[in-house]
Amino acid sequence: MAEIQSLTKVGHIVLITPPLFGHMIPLLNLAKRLSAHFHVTYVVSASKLNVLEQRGFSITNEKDNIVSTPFGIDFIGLFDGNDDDYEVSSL
Amino acid sequence: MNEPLSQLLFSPSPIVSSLSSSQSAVLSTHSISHPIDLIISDMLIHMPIRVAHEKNIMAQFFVPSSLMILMNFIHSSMGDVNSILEQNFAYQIIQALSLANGLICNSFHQLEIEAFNELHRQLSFNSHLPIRFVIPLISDELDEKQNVSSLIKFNIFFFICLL
Repeated sequence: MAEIQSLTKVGHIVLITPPLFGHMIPLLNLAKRLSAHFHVTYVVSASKLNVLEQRGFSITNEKDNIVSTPFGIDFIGLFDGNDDDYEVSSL
Repeated sequence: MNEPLSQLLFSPSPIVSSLSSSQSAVLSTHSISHPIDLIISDMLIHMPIRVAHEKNIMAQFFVPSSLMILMNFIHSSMGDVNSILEQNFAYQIIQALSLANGLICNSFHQLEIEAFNELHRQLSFNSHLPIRFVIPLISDELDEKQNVSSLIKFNIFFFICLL
């Protein structure tokens, strides 16, 4: 099955998002739909990879340094020095 | 963000993993393994669209919410009370749109007709820019976790049918 998928996925799309959940989640949903037909790489600040994994959007595979979802999306974290949490924690 | 992103997307040599070398600057968790055919960049990140244009890589501009919000950003540059920072930001949006191969918006065309027409007027230099609406981008996993009821899903489906 994996071989068939790799044969049919001919294009490579890279999606780039800022570390803001209102931007990350819509682009991730688009990435999931695109991943049915293309190689998809999702680029975000490395500081958000753990949160995406905790929320079930991604998993760490056997190579340990590559994080991907069951949809076959590659996640790449940028070491951009951004460790801020922009979420509103309380009102 | 620009330097690590630029290295990741457009550096001729692959970025060295943190495990294999301590001499090279580690700017991302790993490198991109396939040649890039298309870049989809969020409306807040413009550098990839500019560089992709120079390198003849297709690039799309992604608006994660309403097109009206994007137009408000652009309009903000026209007022007198706005800061230089805001003016620069609106200018960068216009510049990125002029170089992009298209715009993908997470909304309905029917809800955005006014903003759609206004954007085409603003983009007179690139009035043939394809604008695609992709709603509903709803995550099934998110629905399950947040217990979104099937009734809401049905209402969304019904709304789409009406349109």
